[in-house]
Order: sequence, then structure tokens, then C-alpha cells
Amino acid sequence: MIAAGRKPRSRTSARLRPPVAVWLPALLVAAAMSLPLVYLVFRALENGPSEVVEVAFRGKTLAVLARSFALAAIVTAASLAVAVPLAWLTVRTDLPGRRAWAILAALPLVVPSYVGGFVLVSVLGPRGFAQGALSPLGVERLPEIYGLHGAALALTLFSYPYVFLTVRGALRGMDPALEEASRSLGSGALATFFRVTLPQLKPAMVAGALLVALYSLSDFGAVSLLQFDSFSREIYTQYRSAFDRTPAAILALMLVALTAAILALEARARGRARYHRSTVGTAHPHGGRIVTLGRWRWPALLFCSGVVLLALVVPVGVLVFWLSRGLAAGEPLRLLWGAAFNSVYVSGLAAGTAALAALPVAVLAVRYRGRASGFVERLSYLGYALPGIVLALALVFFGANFAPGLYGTLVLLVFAYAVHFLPQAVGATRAALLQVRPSVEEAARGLGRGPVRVVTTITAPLAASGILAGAALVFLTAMKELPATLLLAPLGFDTLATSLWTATSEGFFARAAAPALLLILVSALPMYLLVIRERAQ
Amino acid sequence: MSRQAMIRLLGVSKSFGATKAVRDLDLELAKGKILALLGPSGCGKTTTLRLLAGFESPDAGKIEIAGRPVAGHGASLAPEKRRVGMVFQDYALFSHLTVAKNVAYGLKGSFGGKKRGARVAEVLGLARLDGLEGRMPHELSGGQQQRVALARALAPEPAVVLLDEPFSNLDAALRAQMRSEMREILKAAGATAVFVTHDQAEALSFADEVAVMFDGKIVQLAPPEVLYHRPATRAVAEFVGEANFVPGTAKGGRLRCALGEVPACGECIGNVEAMLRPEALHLRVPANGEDDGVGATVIAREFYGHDQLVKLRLDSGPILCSRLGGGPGFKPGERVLVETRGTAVVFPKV
Repeated sequence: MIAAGRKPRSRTSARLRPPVAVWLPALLVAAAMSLPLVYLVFRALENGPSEVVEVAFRGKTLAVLARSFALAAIVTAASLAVAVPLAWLTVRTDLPGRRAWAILAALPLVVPSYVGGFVLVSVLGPRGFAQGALSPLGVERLPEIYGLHGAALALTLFSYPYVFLTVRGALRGMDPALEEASRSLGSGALATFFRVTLPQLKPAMVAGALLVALYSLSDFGAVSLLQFDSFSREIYTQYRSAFDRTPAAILALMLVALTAAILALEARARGRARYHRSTVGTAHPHGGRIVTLGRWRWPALLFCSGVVLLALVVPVGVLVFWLSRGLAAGEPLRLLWGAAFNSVYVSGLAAGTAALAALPVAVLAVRYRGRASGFVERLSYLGYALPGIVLALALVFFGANFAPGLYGTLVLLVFAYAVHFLPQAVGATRAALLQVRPSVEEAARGLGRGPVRVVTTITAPLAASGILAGAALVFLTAMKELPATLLLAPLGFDTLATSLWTATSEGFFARAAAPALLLILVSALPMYLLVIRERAQ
Repeated sequence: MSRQAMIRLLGVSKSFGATKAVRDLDLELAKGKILALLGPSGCGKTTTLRLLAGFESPDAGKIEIAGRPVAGHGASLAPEKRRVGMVFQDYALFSHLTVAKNVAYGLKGSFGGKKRGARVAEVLGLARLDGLEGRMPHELSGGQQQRVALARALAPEPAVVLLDEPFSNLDAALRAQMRSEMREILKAAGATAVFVTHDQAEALSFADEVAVMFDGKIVQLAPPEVLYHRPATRAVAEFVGEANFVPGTAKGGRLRCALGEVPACGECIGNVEAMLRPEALHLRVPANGEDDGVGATVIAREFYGHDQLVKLRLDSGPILCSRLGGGPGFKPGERVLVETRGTAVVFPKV
């Protein structure tokens, strides 16, 4: 009667076995996420590994590699040079209006790189604003804007906030006692900055710098508009012009490898940054000594206004100028509304798809932690490691060969968006689910509801705000996506991003201004929401 | 075995990796009774509760609820099908639902339609929550939240109510009040209940039966009075309340020890370890020149108002504790005489 001598049947608890309704969709999502990359590998290997080696090591490829590296290195170094002093000035000095400067200096993040590229071309390009203004004065030709310096300038101006924000965060979280100890041990303000403050900031600087490097490597818009042949532009050109598309696939794979390497570095840096951060107990918000700038506040103000002028005021001003000129010349806005509608429509579909796909993955990751669910979750982050151009290329190949019925339809485009931006949806949903205590779900189970009913009546409503936030984030990022839209949108389906692209490449700056301004607004929204959320917390 | 048993565990074991949380556990609880699972943290009491609820499944053994096998021997019933009502330590109220909707969440089947509203009202009345139907959980006090959690668990008329450390989130003053209120509600509902606690006072005052668990096993299962006055082992005696231990020799229901000759109970005879509760030791100030009896010196005193705990050293060496009424105090250094009124429990000498 008593089963004293029975062998233990199973050591896994009831909680560790996810129901079919959870693991099956999660598995499907994981498979869909890995499809582009897996197919890209097959496509690259189509003509045998010898071609891979040949393409990867020929002079032209190595030159692209060198150019991409050079761009990433210059942009990263320049971003650090701009952002670290800005962060220090806005956190640790009596700079007049430092709160306002802090917001203004972070704002350029909302300018999509190709909008930045467009502004640069439209101001300094051969048919641009500056040329037009200067030609009556006898200036025939401005220095060339196209190439490395143009691309580096555009990317630096609009990606330095990554470093600015991480370093600011670290400065604010730093234990002020460290600096006070250094001062009391006889080091001056400057010596303390270099011997104590800067070393403490290193993890944050590394993390921010890697984000910038990642951004410059995977960027398509700015490098293309400024005609700099880094990886993404070269892949696009190869795909568009060459008869044999295998080299494009091989280049794409190389870019993925580079991106993955940077992501791995970034993850390590982030882990270390956490290790370095002082504990909550010792961190004072706005803590630490405030340095009195004295006479130095004039150069400091000049520096801040210079950065904000170049990265924010000039772009927005130029766009407004072009817009008003276009409107004065009777440029029709009809095309714009069509494109805006298309953008909203396709981004909405992508947001819904991504939010739905994220739910099973997040439930699996949060409630049924284990090796398998961890693997599924990591697969869902693949979209993050695939630059847009690479993802689009893989899906073009796949669609043309295996799904001709889907090729050139919105389905493939929505799929691309969902894969690309799923990490955002999973991240937000995951965070929301973590807020829902497991005991609440157990209480519902105990009250006679099955696991699926519990998810729909308890978990999803409680996590609704997080799930919606994830969907909104996907919506807004999909709105400004360029390369995948360019390659996968059906013929004649213009979005804000593609109409900006077309107008810029054809030199119709006035026509590009309206979509560009709209896109800046769209990008500003998530940042605004994030700020509101932080305040609420 | 009684036919009325609402809960029956037979040879239940559960391990997490190398840790054996519950080992070969047998337990039975009659209908309408409240059982406390009492033990130090990590003794397996919460695991036992979760095994009953179905949030964990046993590695071996068999669990029955209301005569129906729910786990083991081929059975494996999902938590939602077990008819258990769980009250969680953090209450786990559904923060997006009102009090009434929280309570109604588990109602279906025989409580569908019109009966639903009536049952919600009935349970809310039972838990003295009338008028709070429309409140959201965050608009309630801690005690009210606790009663909502209990009402929600009681609403579907579960076979058994499980309570996981139900009072640990309340402050001391509220705790005693909630204890008696919860007990009244459970008794009025005629519910069978199991609750987990590490607080012996809570277990003794709240439960009809107390199961003391050490190291994944039940060491003693008894009503509170029996547990307190006749603990089965020295460890139980130490865990449940305060205890004095003195060596002595036992024979024929009498104990000879430093306190003189005392009535004793317990199986063993010969050289033993005897346990006396502090209430059994009475102190008085010796009359002038009196040195007849067990002399001792007071070494410390803790005053609690309703009673006091006096620490003393017997002239023969042992240090003991005496619990007295809140009357006149004894000062450290004072000479006293010790009288024993009560029965010693004897354990084999270690």
C-alpha cells in the first residue's frame, strides 16, 4: 500500500513542463527566426566552399572590409570624443542650463541615419543649399561630401547619443565617495578625473562605443546616400547589378559574422559594467561634487551649442526650409499621405505579428526556464544580429526560389519586419511577464482554470501594458526601416522611408523634406514614451 | 484509516536535484479540521503544500484529496482539477480585477449564472468584506487583502484550503487578530485546511492538528495541547515553546532529578533527559532561615507584562527558566526556592 520503495519516476516538476499551446508556437517562431540566416548560409555555399574563400579573400572584398572597419573606428572614436565631455559637462558641472543641454544632446538619436544623410547631401552636396548660397559669391565647387568623411560625419552626428546616454548613466550612478576620497588623498580636480572618474566610466564607454560601432557597421541609409562603399552598400550594389548573386550572399554572411562578434563583445562589456557599478545603497542621484566652471563655461557652452546646432538644429531647420520651399513651389502632398498610410498599414501589421509571436517565446522564457527555452529565446534575438540589408537579401533569395507566390507581396515584408524587430517585442513582453508574480497564476490554476485560460484571463491582462509597449516599439521602428522595405516592398508600394530615398537619390530635396520630418517625429515618439515611463517609475 | 479523510498522503517523496525536500511522508487529515505544517525553513513544509496543490508532482508515493487519487500510481491531476483553494503568502490577488471579480474568478459549473452573484455575496459576507465588492486590490488594507484571498479560495467550495505562511506579511499586532478571524471564517465555512508556518505560536493557536516537520519528515502529528505537553522528541520539545532540560533517573512514572522527585511521563526508564516547561517551575522567596527545598539564585529576568521569564541557577548547578505571572519581580542575585508543579517528559539520554 505504501510506496516507500518506489523508484523516483521523474525529477522534473509540473511547472517545468510547458503545455503544447506554449511550446509549439514558440518553436514555430524560433524556426521562422532562423530561416533567413540558415537560408543565407545555404545560398552562400551554393557554388561550393571554394567560391566562399575566393570571394571573401579577393582584393575587392578586403577593401570593403577595410573601409567598413575604418568607418566604424572613426565614427566610434569621434562619438567618444564628442559624448564623454558632453556627459561630464551635463552631469558634473555648473554649466548653465545643463538639464536642457542633456535633453537636447540626446535628441539627435531620433534622426534616422538616412534622414541625416539626406540633410548632409542636401546642404553640402553638389546641388545643395550651401552650393546654391555660395555660387553667387564665386564659389564653384564645395569640397566633396561623398565618401568616408561624409559618411563618418553623418553617422557620428546621429549615433554619438548612444555613448552620451550610457556614460551619463554611469556618471550619475557613480559613488561620489570615490572622487571625494581621491580629493582628500591630495589629487586635484583634473587628476581625480583622469585617475578615478575616467577609469570608473570605462565600462560604460566601452558599452556605448560598441553600440555605435554596431550601428555604423549595419547602417545602410547614410552610407548609401553618401556613396561610401562599406559592407551594406556593397551588398546592395552586388545584388542590384551583378548577374551572379552568390557573392552578395557571401558578403552578407561576412557582415553577419562581424555584427555577431561586436554583439558578443557588447554583451561582455555590459556584464562587466554591471559588475563595476556601485551598489544601490551608495549611489546618490545627482551625487558627487559639482565642478565650478568659472571662465571655462564659455568654451563649454560653445562646445555644447556647436554639437546641438550640427546634430539637431541644422537638420531640422534645413528640412523645414526645404518643406516650405516645396510647398511654395506647389509640391503636392498627396504622394506623402499615400506613403504615410502605407507605412502605418504595414508597420501595424508588423507590430501585431511581432507581439503575437513574442508572447509564447516570452512565456516560455519566463515561466519554464531551462536549456531548451533559453535556446528558443536566444534564437528570437537573431533578428537583432542581422543587419536589415542582410535579412532583406536572404528573404529575397528565399522568396524568389521557394515562395514565388509570396515574393513581391506584403507578406514577405511583414515577415521581414517581424523577424527584424521581434527582439524588441520579446524584450518588452518578457519584462512585463516578470512583473506578474507566479503565485498569481498559481492562484488561478488552483481556482480551476487550465493553463491556457490562465494566460488569457490573468497573465495577458496583467502584462497588457508591456505587450502593447513592445508592439508600439515595433510599430515605430518598422516605420523608419529602409533597406528591407527597399528590397521587399511590392512594386509601387511606397512608404515614407522609400519615398524619401527615391526623392533624395533623384535630387528632389523639397519632396523628401516632408517624409523626413514625419519620420523624425515618428522616431521621437518611443523616446518620449520611454522618458514618461521612467518618470512614472 | 477513517473514511472521512479529506487529505491522504502515502509514502510521498520529492527531490530537487540532490536535495530531498520530502521523504516518504504519510499524512491524513479529517474533514473540517485545520492542520498546521510546522517546521524550520527548508524542512519541506512548503513543498508538501505545493505537492497537495499540484504545483509540484511527487517522485514517489500517492496523494488523495477527498478520496480521489490526484498524484502517484498513475494519477496526475492538474492543479485546476483538484478542488483545492490556495491562499498565498503574498495573497496573489489579481490586481486587474475588483474584489468581487477576484472572488468570482473560480466560480463555474454549479455556480454559473444567477447563483454566481449569490455565492460571491455569501462568501464576501462570510469574510466580512461587505461593501468592498467594487474596490481594486490596491485600495485595501493588508488584512482586507488577506480576507479577499481567503474568500476567493473558499468561493468554489474547495475540498481543502491550502494556506502558505498566511500571516507572515502582517505586522505583529494585526497578526493575532487575523489569526482568530481567519480561523472563524474557515470554521464557519466548514472548510478543511492545511497551512504552513514556521511560527510555533501561530501553529498552536490556529490549528486543530499540528504536524512538526524536520528534514522532509513528519516527526510528530498531534493536537496542539498534546504537542506542547507531550512532545515526541527532544527536538520537537525545543522547537515548540521553551523547554528546560535536566538529567535524572526515571522509574515507575517518577523522576528523580536536581528538582527533587517529580511525576514523569514517557517510555524510557533509567538514566534520562527530562523536559519541564518554564510554567512548571514556581518560585518563592525563602522565609527567614529556611533552607529546606530546592535553592536557586536569579541570574536574569525578561518582563513581558502579562508574564515574566526568570533565568536561575540551581545551587546544584543547572541553569533553568521559569515563567511566572506578571506580578512582583525577582531581581538578579536574589535567592529563591523552586517548586515543581507539573509533569516532566522524559527522553533517552543522548
